[in-house]
Amino acid sequence: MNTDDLRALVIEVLSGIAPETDPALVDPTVDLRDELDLDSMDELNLITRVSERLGIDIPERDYGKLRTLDSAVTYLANRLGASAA
Amino acid sequence: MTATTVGTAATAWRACPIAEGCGTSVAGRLRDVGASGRARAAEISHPAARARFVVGRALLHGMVAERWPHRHGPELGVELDAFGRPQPIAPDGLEVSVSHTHGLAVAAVSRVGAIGIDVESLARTDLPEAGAWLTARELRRLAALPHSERRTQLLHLWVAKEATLKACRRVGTTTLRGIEVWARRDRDDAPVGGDVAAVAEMGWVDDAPGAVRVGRDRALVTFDATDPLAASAEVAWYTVADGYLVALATSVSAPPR
Ligand SMILES: CC(C)(COP(=O)(O)OP(=O)(O)OC[C@H]1O[C@@H](n2cnc3c(N)ncnc32)[C@H](O)[C@@H]1OP(=O)(O)O)[C@@H](O)C(=O)NCCC(=O)NCCS
Repeated sequence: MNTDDLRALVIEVLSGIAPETDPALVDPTVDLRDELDLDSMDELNLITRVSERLGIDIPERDYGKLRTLDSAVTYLANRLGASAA
Repeated sequence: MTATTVGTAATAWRACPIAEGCGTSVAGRLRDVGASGRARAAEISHPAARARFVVGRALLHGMVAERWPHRHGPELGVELDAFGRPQPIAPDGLEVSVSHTHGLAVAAVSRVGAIGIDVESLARTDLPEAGAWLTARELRRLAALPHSERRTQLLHLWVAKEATLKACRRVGTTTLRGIEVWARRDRDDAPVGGDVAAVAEMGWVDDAPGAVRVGRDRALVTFDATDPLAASAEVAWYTVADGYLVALATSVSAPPR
Protein backbone atom coordinates (compact mmCIF):
# COMPACT_ATOMS: atom_id res chain seq x y z
CA MET A 1 0.00 0.00 0.00
CA ASN A 2 1.55 3.34 -1.02
CA THR A 3 0.80 6.82 0.33
CA ASP A 4 -1.91 7.44 -2.29
CA ASP A 5 -3.69 4.28 -1.16
CA LEU A 6 -3.38 5.37 2.46
CA ARG A 7 -4.76 8.83 1.65
CA ALA A 8 -7.69 7.25 -0.20
CA LEU A 9 -8.35 4.95 2.75
CA VAL A 10 -8.33 7.79 5.30
CA ILE A 11 -10.66 9.85 3.06
CA GLU A 12 -13.00 6.88 2.70
CA VAL A 13 -13.16 6.40 6.48
CA LEU A 14 -13.69 10.15 6.98
CA SER A 15 -16.57 10.06 4.48
CA GLY A 16 -18.34 7.62 6.78
CA ILE A 17 -17.71 9.81 9.83
CA ALA A 18 -18.57 13.17 8.28
CA PRO A 19 -21.01 12.17 5.50
CA GLU A 20 -22.31 15.68 4.91
CA THR A 21 -18.90 16.98 3.80
CA ASP A 22 -16.44 15.94 1.13
CA PRO A 23 -13.18 14.95 2.83
CA ALA A 24 -11.49 14.79 -0.58
CA LEU A 25 -11.75 18.59 -0.73
CA VAL A 26 -10.12 19.32 2.64
CA ASP A 27 -6.88 21.18 2.96
CA PRO A 28 -4.59 18.27 3.91
CA THR A 29 -2.48 20.47 6.17
CA VAL A 30 -5.32 21.80 8.32
CA ASP A 31 -6.71 20.26 11.51
CA LEU A 32 -9.53 17.89 10.52
CA ARG A 33 -11.62 19.21 13.42
CA ASP A 34 -11.75 22.64 11.87
CA GLU A 35 -12.31 21.44 8.31
CA LEU A 36 -14.84 18.68 8.89
CA ASP A 37 -16.41 19.59 12.24
CA LEU A 38 -14.99 16.51 13.96
CA ASP A 39 -15.02 16.15 17.73
CA SER A 40 -13.11 13.75 19.96
CA MET A 41 -15.63 10.96 19.45
CA ASP A 42 -15.25 11.29 15.68
CA GLU A 43 -11.47 11.29 16.08
CA LEU A 44 -11.50 8.08 18.06
CA ASN A 45 -13.82 6.54 15.45
CA LEU A 46 -11.36 7.58 12.74
CA ILE A 47 -8.46 6.01 14.61
CA THR A 48 -10.19 2.74 15.48
CA ARG A 49 -11.59 2.29 11.96
CA VAL A 50 -8.29 3.04 10.22
CA SER A 51 -6.40 0.74 12.58
CA GLU A 52 -8.94 -2.02 11.94
CA ARG A 53 -8.74 -1.60 8.16
CA LEU A 54 -4.95 -1.68 8.18
CA GLY A 55 -4.62 -4.35 10.85
CA ILE A 56 -2.32 -2.20 12.99
CA ASP A 57 -2.56 -1.08 16.57
CA ILE A 58 -2.39 2.71 16.96
CA PRO A 59 -1.23 3.45 20.51
CA GLU A 60 -3.01 6.23 22.36
CA ARG A 61 0.17 8.30 22.61
CA ASP A 62 0.15 8.57 18.79
CA TYR A 63 -3.42 9.86 18.43
CA GLY A 64 -2.20 13.43 18.05
CA LYS A 65 -0.29 12.42 14.92
CA LEU A 66 -3.54 11.90 12.98
CA ARG A 67 -4.90 15.41 13.31
CA THR A 68 -4.49 16.47 9.66
CA LEU A 69 -4.85 14.40 6.51
CA ASP A 70 -1.16 14.81 5.64
CA SER A 71 0.07 13.96 9.12
CA ALA A 72 -2.21 10.91 9.26
CA VAL A 73 -0.89 9.63 5.94
CA THR A 74 2.73 10.25 6.99
CA TYR A 75 2.20 8.49 10.30
CA LEU A 76 0.48 5.48 8.72
CA ALA A 77 3.10 5.24 5.97
CA ASN A 78 5.86 5.19 8.60
CA ARG A 79 4.05 2.54 10.58
CA LEU A 80 3.55 0.36 7.51
CA GLY A 81 6.87 1.15 5.86
CA ALA A 82 4.87 2.27 2.81
CA SER A 83 6.51 3.71 -0.29
CA ALA A 84 5.68 7.18 -1.64
CA ALA A 85 3.22 7.14 -4.54
CA MET B 1 -34.77 27.64 25.15
CA THR B 2 -32.68 30.48 26.51
CA ALA B 3 -29.49 30.06 28.51
CA THR B 4 -29.95 27.84 31.51
CA THR B 5 -27.73 28.23 34.55
CA VAL B 6 -27.19 25.53 37.15
CA GLY B 7 -25.19 25.93 40.32
CA THR B 8 -24.12 28.23 43.07
CA ALA B 9 -22.04 31.38 43.22
CA ALA B 10 -18.97 29.19 43.74
CA THR B 11 -19.55 26.60 41.01
CA ALA B 12 -21.96 26.96 38.12
CA TRP B 13 -22.48 25.85 34.59
CA ARG B 14 -24.66 27.18 31.84
CA ALA B 15 -26.07 25.76 28.62
CA CYS B 16 -26.87 27.68 25.45
CA PRO B 17 -28.44 26.39 22.23
CA ILE B 18 -26.08 27.11 19.34
CA ALA B 19 -28.69 27.97 16.73
CA GLU B 20 -30.13 30.72 18.90
CA GLY B 21 -26.76 31.92 20.17
CA CYS B 22 -28.54 32.72 23.44
CA GLY B 23 -30.61 35.51 21.97
CA THR B 24 -27.96 36.87 19.62
CA SER B 25 -26.91 35.56 16.22
CA VAL B 26 -23.67 33.64 16.03
CA ALA B 27 -22.19 36.52 14.00
CA GLY B 28 -23.28 38.92 16.74
CA ARG B 29 -21.68 36.70 19.34
CA LEU B 30 -18.29 37.28 17.69
CA ARG B 31 -18.24 40.61 19.54
CA ASP B 32 -18.20 38.71 22.82
CA VAL B 33 -15.24 36.40 22.29
CA GLY B 34 -12.31 38.83 22.45
CA ALA B 35 -9.52 39.28 19.94
CA SER B 36 -8.00 35.83 20.45
CA GLY B 37 -11.44 34.24 20.10
CA ARG B 38 -12.07 36.06 16.83
CA ALA B 39 -8.65 34.98 15.55
CA ARG B 40 -9.40 31.38 16.46
CA ALA B 41 -12.87 31.57 14.85
CA ALA B 42 -11.27 32.77 11.62
CA GLU B 43 -9.17 29.60 11.50
CA ILE B 44 -12.20 27.29 11.68
CA SER B 45 -13.44 26.80 8.15
CA HIS B 46 -16.44 24.58 8.87
CA PRO B 47 -19.41 26.86 9.64
CA ALA B 48 -20.98 24.56 12.24
CA ALA B 49 -17.66 24.05 14.02
CA ARG B 50 -17.11 27.82 14.02
CA ALA B 51 -20.59 28.47 15.41
CA ARG B 52 -20.05 25.96 18.22
CA PHE B 53 -16.73 27.53 19.13
CA VAL B 54 -18.09 31.09 19.07
CA VAL B 55 -21.19 30.33 21.17
CA GLY B 56 -19.15 28.31 23.67
CA ARG B 57 -16.47 30.96 24.06
CA ALA B 58 -19.04 33.78 24.33
CA LEU B 59 -20.91 31.82 26.99
CA LEU B 60 -17.70 31.38 28.95
CA HIS B 61 -16.75 35.06 28.58
CA GLY B 62 -20.20 36.03 29.84
CA MET B 63 -19.91 33.86 32.93
CA VAL B 64 -16.44 35.19 33.72
CA ALA B 65 -17.62 38.79 33.25
CA GLU B 66 -20.54 38.27 35.64
CA ARG B 67 -18.11 37.22 38.35
CA TRP B 68 -15.97 40.33 37.89
CA PRO B 69 -18.39 43.18 37.29
CA HIS B 70 -15.69 45.71 38.15
CA ARG B 71 -13.39 44.57 35.39
CA HIS B 72 -13.45 45.66 31.77
CA GLY B 73 -12.11 44.88 28.34
CA PRO B 74 -9.16 42.58 27.84
CA GLU B 75 -8.97 41.70 31.55
CA LEU B 76 -12.17 39.71 31.14
CA GLY B 77 -11.00 37.48 28.35
CA VAL B 78 -10.25 33.80 28.26
CA GLU B 79 -7.11 32.41 26.67
CA LEU B 80 -5.83 28.90 26.02
CA ASP B 81 -2.74 27.57 27.75
CA ALA B 82 -0.09 25.51 25.95
CA PHE B 83 -2.29 22.41 26.27
CA GLY B 84 -5.40 24.05 24.82
CA ARG B 85 -6.99 24.46 28.23
CA PRO B 86 -9.06 27.63 28.61
CA GLN B 87 -8.28 29.97 31.50
CA PRO B 88 -9.21 33.53 32.38
CA ILE B 89 -6.55 36.05 31.37
CA ALA B 90 -6.50 37.25 34.99
CA PRO B 91 -7.41 33.96 36.72
CA ASP B 92 -7.69 35.22 40.30
CA GLY B 93 -8.64 31.73 41.49
CA LEU B 94 -11.34 31.20 38.88
CA GLU B 95 -11.30 27.91 36.95
CA VAL B 96 -13.26 27.51 33.73
CA SER B 97 -14.22 24.82 31.24
CA VAL B 98 -16.22 24.65 28.02
CA SER B 99 -17.73 21.99 25.76
CA HIS B 100 -19.94 22.01 22.69
CA THR B 101 -21.73 19.51 20.54
CA HIS B 102 -24.14 19.76 17.63
CA GLY B 103 -26.85 22.06 18.94
CA LEU B 104 -25.63 22.95 22.43
CA ALA B 105 -22.71 24.71 24.11
CA VAL B 106 -22.01 24.50 27.84
CA ALA B 107 -19.55 26.40 30.00
CA ALA B 108 -18.62 26.08 33.66
CA VAL B 109 -16.82 28.26 36.19
CA SER B 110 -15.59 27.49 39.68
CA ARG B 111 -14.11 29.52 42.49
CA VAL B 112 -13.40 26.43 44.55
CA GLY B 113 -11.00 24.41 42.44
CA ALA B 114 -10.60 22.66 39.14
CA ILE B 115 -13.62 22.04 36.97
CA GLY B 116 -14.31 20.13 33.77
CA ILE B 117 -17.47 19.98 31.68
CA ASP B 118 -18.51 17.85 28.72
CA VAL B 119 -21.72 17.59 26.70
CA GLU B 120 -23.03 15.11 24.17
CA SER B 121 -26.32 14.66 22.41
CA LEU B 122 -28.31 11.77 23.87
CA ALA B 123 -29.29 10.87 20.32
CA ARG B 124 -25.72 10.05 19.42
CA THR B 125 -25.28 6.49 18.18
CA ASP B 126 -21.78 6.58 16.71
CA LEU B 127 -19.89 5.79 19.89
CA PRO B 128 -16.43 4.36 19.26
CA GLU B 129 -15.90 0.67 19.83
CA ALA B 130 -16.01 0.27 23.62
CA GLY B 131 -12.77 -1.74 23.84
CA ALA B 132 -10.85 1.32 22.62
CA TRP B 133 -11.76 3.54 25.57
CA LEU B 134 -13.22 1.53 28.47
CA THR B 135 -11.25 -0.33 31.13
CA ALA B 136 -11.69 -4.08 31.55
CA ARG B 137 -13.92 -3.55 34.60
CA GLU B 138 -16.06 -1.00 32.78
CA LEU B 139 -16.46 -3.44 29.90
CA ARG B 140 -17.59 -6.15 32.30
CA ARG B 141 -20.12 -3.86 33.96
CA LEU B 142 -21.41 -2.79 30.57
CA ALA B 143 -21.82 -6.39 29.45
CA ALA B 144 -23.95 -7.07 32.52
CA LEU B 145 -26.47 -4.40 31.49
CA PRO B 146 -29.49 -5.09 29.29
CA HIS B 147 -28.77 -4.20 25.65
CA SER B 148 -31.35 -1.44 25.75
CA GLU B 149 -29.39 0.44 28.44
CA ARG B 150 -25.90 0.13 27.02
CA ARG B 151 -25.79 3.07 24.62
CA THR B 152 -27.01 5.51 27.26
CA GLN B 153 -24.55 4.08 29.76
CA LEU B 154 -21.74 4.49 27.23
CA LEU B 155 -22.69 8.14 26.75
CA HIS B 156 -22.55 8.65 30.52
CA LEU B 157 -19.09 7.10 30.64
CA TRP B 158 -17.86 9.15 27.68
CA VAL B 159 -18.88 12.55 29.04
CA ALA B 160 -17.68 11.62 32.55
CA LYS B 161 -14.24 10.69 31.25
CA GLU B 162 -13.86 13.75 29.05
CA ALA B 163 -15.00 16.09 31.83
CA THR B 164 -12.56 14.41 34.24
CA LEU B 165 -9.64 14.73 31.83
CA LYS B 166 -10.36 18.44 31.53
CA ALA B 167 -10.76 18.96 35.28
CA CYS B 168 -7.65 16.94 36.20
CA ARG B 169 -5.50 18.65 33.55
CA ARG B 170 -4.83 15.30 31.96
CA VAL B 171 -5.92 15.95 28.36
CA GLY B 172 -3.19 14.50 26.19
CA THR B 173 -1.38 12.79 29.07
CA THR B 174 -3.93 10.32 30.45
CA THR B 175 -5.97 8.27 28.00
CA LEU B 176 -9.67 7.52 28.28
CA ARG B 177 -8.72 4.00 29.36
CA GLY B 178 -6.52 5.49 32.07
CA ILE B 179 -9.63 6.75 33.86
CA GLU B 180 -12.10 4.49 35.55
CA VAL B 181 -15.66 5.49 36.33
CA TRP B 182 -17.32 3.99 39.38
CA ALA B 183 -20.87 4.16 40.48
CA ARG B 184 -20.77 5.41 44.04
CA ARG B 185 -22.80 2.40 45.11
CA ASP B 186 -20.22 0.05 43.56
CA ARG B 187 -17.41 1.06 45.78
CA ASP B 188 -17.79 2.38 49.30
CA ASP B 189 -14.08 2.95 49.78
CA ALA B 190 -13.67 4.96 46.61
CA PRO B 191 -11.09 7.67 47.19
CA VAL B 192 -13.30 10.71 47.03
CA GLY B 193 -12.17 14.11 48.17
CA GLY B 194 -15.60 15.44 49.00
CA ASP B 195 -19.27 14.69 49.24
CA VAL B 196 -20.60 13.40 45.94
CA ALA B 197 -24.21 13.89 46.93
CA ALA B 198 -23.52 17.53 47.71
CA VAL B 199 -22.18 18.04 44.20
CA ALA B 200 -25.19 16.41 42.63
CA GLU B 201 -27.60 18.38 44.74
CA MET B 202 -26.19 21.79 44.05
CA GLY B 203 -28.22 22.34 40.91
CA TRP B 204 -31.22 24.49 40.38
CA VAL B 205 -32.62 26.06 37.29
CA ASP B 206 -32.92 29.80 37.28
CA ASP B 207 -34.79 30.67 34.14
CA ALA B 208 -36.03 27.50 32.51
CA PRO B 209 -37.79 25.35 35.06
CA GLY B 210 -37.71 21.72 34.14
CA ALA B 211 -35.10 22.15 31.43
CA VAL B 212 -32.36 20.63 33.55
CA ARG B 213 -32.77 17.58 35.70
CA VAL B 214 -30.16 16.76 38.28
CA GLY B 215 -29.07 13.14 37.98
CA ARG B 216 -28.58 12.76 41.67
CA ASP B 217 -28.71 8.99 41.81
CA ARG B 218 -26.19 8.84 39.02
CA ALA B 219 -23.46 10.83 40.67
CA LEU B 220 -20.27 8.85 40.23
CA VAL B 221 -16.67 8.90 41.30
CA THR B 222 -13.85 8.65 38.81
CA PHE B 223 -10.23 7.93 39.38
CA ASP B 224 -7.22 6.61 37.61
CA ALA B 225 -6.95 2.98 38.63
CA THR B 226 -3.56 2.30 37.09
CA ASP B 227 -1.64 5.38 38.09
CA PRO B 228 0.24 5.55 41.39
CA LEU B 229 -0.17 9.34 41.28
CA ALA B 230 -3.85 8.82 40.79
CA ALA B 231 -6.09 11.81 40.52
CA SER B 232 -9.74 11.54 41.32
CA ALA B 233 -12.74 13.72 40.66
CA GLU B 234 -16.42 13.69 41.38
CA VAL B 235 -18.79 13.66 38.46
CA ALA B 236 -22.43 14.67 38.37
CA TRP B 237 -24.60 14.20 35.32
CA TYR B 238 -27.42 16.39 34.11
CA THR B 239 -29.78 16.10 31.20
CA VAL B 240 -30.68 19.29 29.36
CA ALA B 241 -34.03 19.62 27.62
CA ASP B 242 -34.18 15.82 27.40
CA GLY B 243 -31.76 15.89 24.48
CA TYR B 244 -28.30 16.39 25.91
CA LEU B 245 -26.20 14.81 28.60
CA VAL B 246 -23.79 16.99 30.58
CA ALA B 247 -21.09 15.76 32.96
CA LEU B 248 -19.52 18.12 35.46
CA ALA B 249 -16.28 17.02 37.14
CA THR B 250 -15.26 18.81 40.32
CA SER B 251 -13.44 18.14 43.61
CA VAL B 252 -10.24 16.98 42.01
CA SER B 253 -8.33 15.28 44.79
CA ALA B 254 -4.78 15.12 43.48
CA PRO B 255 -2.53 17.80 42.07
CA PRO B 256 -2.29 17.84 38.28
CA ARG B 257 0.85 16.57 36.59
C1 LIG C 1 -9.71 18.19 24.43
C2 LIG C 1 -10.87 17.22 24.36
C3 LIG C 1 -11.20 16.75 25.77
C4 LIG C 1 -12.06 17.98 23.76
O1 LIG C 1 -13.19 17.14 23.65
P1 LIG C 1 -14.27 17.30 22.47
O2 LIG C 1 -15.39 16.38 22.77
O3 LIG C 1 -13.65 17.15 21.15
O4 LIG C 1 -14.74 18.78 22.52
P2 LIG C 1 -15.55 19.58 23.63
O5 LIG C 1 -16.46 20.46 22.91
O6 LIG C 1 -16.11 18.71 24.68
O7 LIG C 1 -14.42 20.44 24.31
C5 LIG C 1 -13.74 21.40 23.57
C6 LIG C 1 -13.06 22.32 24.53
O8 LIG C 1 -12.13 21.61 25.32
C7 LIG C 1 -11.24 22.58 25.81
N1 LIG C 1 -9.92 21.99 25.90
C8 LIG C 1 -9.05 21.72 24.92
N2 LIG C 1 -7.91 21.23 25.45
C9 LIG C 1 -8.10 21.20 26.77
C10 LIG C 1 -7.28 20.82 27.86
N3 LIG C 1 -6.01 20.42 27.67
N4 LIG C 1 -7.77 20.90 29.12
C11 LIG C 1 -9.03 21.36 29.34
N5 LIG C 1 -9.86 21.75 28.34
C12 LIG C 1 -9.37 21.67 27.08
C13 LIG C 1 -11.23 23.76 24.84
O9 LIG C 1 -11.66 24.88 25.55
C14 LIG C 1 -12.25 23.36 23.82
O10 LIG C 1 -13.13 24.37 23.47
P3 LIG C 1 -12.75 25.51 22.40
O11 LIG C 1 -12.02 24.86 21.30
O12 LIG C 1 -14.07 26.05 22.02
O13 LIG C 1 -11.91 26.49 23.17
C15 LIG C 1 -10.57 16.01 23.47
O14 LIG C 1 -10.31 16.43 22.17
C16 LIG C 1 -9.38 15.16 23.88
O15 LIG C 1 -8.25 15.44 23.59
N6 LIG C 1 -9.62 14.07 24.57
C17 LIG C 1 -8.54 13.20 24.98
C18 LIG C 1 -9.05 11.83 25.09
C19 LIG C 1 -9.00 11.01 23.84
O16 LIG C 1 -8.26 10.08 23.77
N7 LIG C 1 -9.84 11.32 22.86
C20 LIG C 1 -10.02 10.48 21.70
C21 LIG C 1 -9.18 10.69 20.50
S1 LIG C 1 -8.41 12.23 20.26
